[in-house]
Amino acid sequence: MLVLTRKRGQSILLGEAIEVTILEISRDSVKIGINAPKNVEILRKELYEEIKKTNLESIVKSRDILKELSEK
Amino acid sequence: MKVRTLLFGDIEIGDEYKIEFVSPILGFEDEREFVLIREKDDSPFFWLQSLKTPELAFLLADPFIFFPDYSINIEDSHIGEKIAIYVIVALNEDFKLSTANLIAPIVIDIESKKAFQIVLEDSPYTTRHYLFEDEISNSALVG
Repeated sequence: MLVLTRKRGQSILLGEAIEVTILEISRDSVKIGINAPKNVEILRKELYEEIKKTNLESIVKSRDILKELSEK
Repeated sequence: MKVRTLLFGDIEIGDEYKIEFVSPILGFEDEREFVLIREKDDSPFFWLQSLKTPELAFLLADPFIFFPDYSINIEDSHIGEKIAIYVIVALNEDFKLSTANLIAPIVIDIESKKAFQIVLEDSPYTTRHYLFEDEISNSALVG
């Protein structure tokens, strides 16, 4: 992992198209601004992980549900 | 085409039901081709069956039937004007306690048959909303 120090208002570039700026720093959180092309998906990691987990848990493994559905 | 499935056995499905995920279902980056089949005429439920993996199928629902106020804002230049929106259902052993993932719906461009799972950052939705909220008593939820 690359680790570097930035001050408030400073940025880093990821390639030429993505700019990450440190906007605000407080005791245990930082506010970050991101400029990126629209096709770059930006997700909070914990949300990404939660959706991935929910997707995995949503695989239909049994035919039992088919009977229930046929009654709906 | 013939499709092998765990749930339905071998089935014959027209090519027009095939969709391609250009942005994957999160966690399923290697699964890009599926067929989308309505459970039956007029049903709010649909099956999303992998063409590659017979054991991989999801139950989808039409969110606007179960959640009439559901709204999403999509800004994606790859999506045409005619789109269909579905949500993935997480089945519960007790069917009426099944939930839908409203924060990460499946969007399909009807004309190109390209599909996406999009994540609605900054929306009020979560990964689990009860499909039959009105039918679930408070006691069932607490218990």
